[in-house]
Amino acid sequence: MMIFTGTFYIAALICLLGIFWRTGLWFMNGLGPEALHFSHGKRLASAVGSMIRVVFSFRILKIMRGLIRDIVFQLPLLKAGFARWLAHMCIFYGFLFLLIFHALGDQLILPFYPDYASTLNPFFFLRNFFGALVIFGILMAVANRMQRSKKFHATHGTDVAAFIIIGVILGSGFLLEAVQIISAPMFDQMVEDYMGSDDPGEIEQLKTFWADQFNVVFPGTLSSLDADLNAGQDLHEAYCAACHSSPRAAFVSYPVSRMLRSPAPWLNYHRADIWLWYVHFLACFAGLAMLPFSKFFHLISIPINWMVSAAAEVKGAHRTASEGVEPGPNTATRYILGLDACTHCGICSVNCSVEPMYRVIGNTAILPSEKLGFIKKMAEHPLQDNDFLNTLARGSFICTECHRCTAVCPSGIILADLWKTTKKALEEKGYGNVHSRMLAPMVDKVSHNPAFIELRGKTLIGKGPGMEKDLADCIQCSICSNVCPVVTTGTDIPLQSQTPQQVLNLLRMGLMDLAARSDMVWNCTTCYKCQEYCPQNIRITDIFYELRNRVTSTLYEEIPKSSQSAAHRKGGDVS
Amino acid sequence: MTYAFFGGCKISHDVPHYETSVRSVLQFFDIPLTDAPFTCCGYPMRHQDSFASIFSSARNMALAGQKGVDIMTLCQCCFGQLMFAAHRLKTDEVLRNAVNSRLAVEGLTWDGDIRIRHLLSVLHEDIGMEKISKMITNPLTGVRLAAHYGCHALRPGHIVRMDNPLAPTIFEDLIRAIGAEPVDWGRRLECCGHPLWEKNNGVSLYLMKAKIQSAVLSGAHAICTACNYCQIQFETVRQKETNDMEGGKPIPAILYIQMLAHGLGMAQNPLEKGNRRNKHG
Repeated sequence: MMIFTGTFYIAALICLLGIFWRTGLWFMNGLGPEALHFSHGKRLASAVGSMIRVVFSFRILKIMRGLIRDIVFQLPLLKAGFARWLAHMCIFYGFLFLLIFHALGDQLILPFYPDYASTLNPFFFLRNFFGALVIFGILMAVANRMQRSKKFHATHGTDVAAFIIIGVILGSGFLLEAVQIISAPMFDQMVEDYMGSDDPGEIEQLKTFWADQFNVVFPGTLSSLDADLNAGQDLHEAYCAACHSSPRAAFVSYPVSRMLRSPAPWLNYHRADIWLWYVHFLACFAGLAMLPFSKFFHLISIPINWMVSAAAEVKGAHRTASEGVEPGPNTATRYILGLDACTHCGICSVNCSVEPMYRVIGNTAILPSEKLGFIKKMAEHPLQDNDFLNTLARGSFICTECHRCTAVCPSGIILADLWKTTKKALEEKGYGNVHSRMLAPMVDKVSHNPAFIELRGKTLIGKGPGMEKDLADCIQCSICSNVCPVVTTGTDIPLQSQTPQQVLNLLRMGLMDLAARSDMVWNCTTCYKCQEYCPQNIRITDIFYELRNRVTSTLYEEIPKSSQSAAHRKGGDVS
Repeated sequence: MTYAFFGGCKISHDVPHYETSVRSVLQFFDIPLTDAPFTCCGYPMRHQDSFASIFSSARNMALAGQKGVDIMTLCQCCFGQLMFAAHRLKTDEVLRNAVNSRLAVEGLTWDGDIRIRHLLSVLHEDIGMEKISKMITNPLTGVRLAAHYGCHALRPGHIVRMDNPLAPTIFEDLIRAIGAEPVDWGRRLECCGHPLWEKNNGVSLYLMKAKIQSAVLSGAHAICTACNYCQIQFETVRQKETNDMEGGKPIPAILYIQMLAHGLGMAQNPLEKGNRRNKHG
């Protein structure tokens, strides 16, 4: 019992400290420019203030109603699919009731029901029922995940760890109960503790009955007479039945105990019931200690995130993003809390509008469920290297902000806000979209920022054939420049370095890199007027697209995909 | 003729009234719509990786092909992109095979069977001017509208083939059909500026303002759009970035479909404030 109590307190302490630490990070870490305006203390004070204001307002009723809908019945998950919802409900409620009826039975059931004993029905049955629910849920979840993994390799170590810990707790639990059923030493102990008779004959008769009816495996042979069996039954009713129902009610453990009949003498001799008990409670306490550091933290972070989003009234509870809302001291806190509420379920990635791009580009930061991991890392350690920032920028600026992920997130995270803030944070670091990097002011381009050193030191367009042959027909008539709406801005905004015709001339001379760096290429709206008016049918806009494509792939150091056609990569044949 | 409704990335969140209006107007004219699990058309990706963008377009077309229905888009850029991708896939066998081998993984193929239509063509050709004019109960007499075609639905003309790329008329026809008067304006066929939004905001806003000034000079009461990007530029971006229009009174931008819905008696007049985002009709 020393070990039991000791490890429990250690685990509980780790759990509490962990929760304290994780919740503390909500106020310590920041994301995007908003985070810098407010101190940690101010953020904490503001959060507490807002919380008190909400709790003592009528809005709390509306929030509670939503909480029942989204957290208790988990309806957002149902929207994502019945199988997922069922699996999650089985795991969550199975585990919750195991906690109430089994783990905390002495603390929670006994005060209300003085006859409570774990060996009585309905608890015998319920323990198995809820345990079976969890196992069923886990198997379903693993199957769901395996099916999805064919599409995305989106199962992380944390996901596997969560499955393993629940699996060990449940598996050891059922096995423990089965081993207890067959245990002769436990029978002897119970006889000593509870039987009001020490007549060896009567004990023998009781053994006969328990061996026959309850699958206890005793060493040696027992009487097989019906008379002894009947006498044993009477003794059972007299001494045992009040506190011990038939273990057959344990509809999972009992069949398992039947299967364990042949190794039973060995198991009983080595007291497997004691060893498995250690395994079982140590696994449970390990789970408790792991809670703040694993996926299970979502038990805490999701309801809090949900309530915070609802309280902030980010337009229509939590389904749309907080557009146009001035960032306040709670903004950064909300973002970090949102990051913590992700369970990596992957529903966002399944619904992602640009998921097909991921299949071609292969950058995992395109997928929302994976991008979130990158953002989390950046929030924890703002100083990241060039490769990391380039990868995240690549994924972030492919996102079209369609808001589908936010609409389907069962944890109610306002993902769209996270994506937008991340883009802002990346822009501040110089890792904006390719356009803004190419159009950055000279002062940035000559700075020591690695985002621009890259651009400076590299030949942007080195690969592939030149475009001279496509442009051989160009007669330099300048019609393209004359119809270009962007060129007209030149009189008011001194931006333009070259006109389309001048870019074409650079290309004709083979000065590809110079052409690709021209502002004109990046300021082009792709309205296709130049191409439409060109008397020589030169595909000017398509050439600009191609230049952008090539710069992008150099910038992100992507090797052109082998599956892409040669013609597609070939410089001139772009239409 | 059933169409697969292609909403694109922007409509469901940024301009939801565009979708609801289109659905109710088309229902009114007995044109059934169906839905498919479409993703991004690929247009935004065209700047970065042409293969990825064409793959995404091909996948969407293959999804519609699986259902055997044509696609109807509400966005000039989705329309232009899908047409562009279809053209490339038709003319480049190596590209087509590369795309199809990737699509085969999920049991899809691009075979170029289906047609891509823009909402304006569906209204103009499938329903027709005569039928629309006949059904108009609230003619917008005296209202002068500047038709804003949007670039990618018109050009490159030999690929998108919606109308004459340099002298289109269908939008003006549709404006006449609801009893309003189309104006001729200088920057009618130019870009709204949205493709450069968040890339070079200075140029993006300049182009937008120039267009609005041109529309004001022509005496239009409103700019009439048929594309979510153009509408976002003239409405959302403009509200966010500019308070007044230099050198002229500000005029609103209204989605054509909302004017039509009003003409059919299904919605309040979108020219009056407060009715702009009217979701019914």
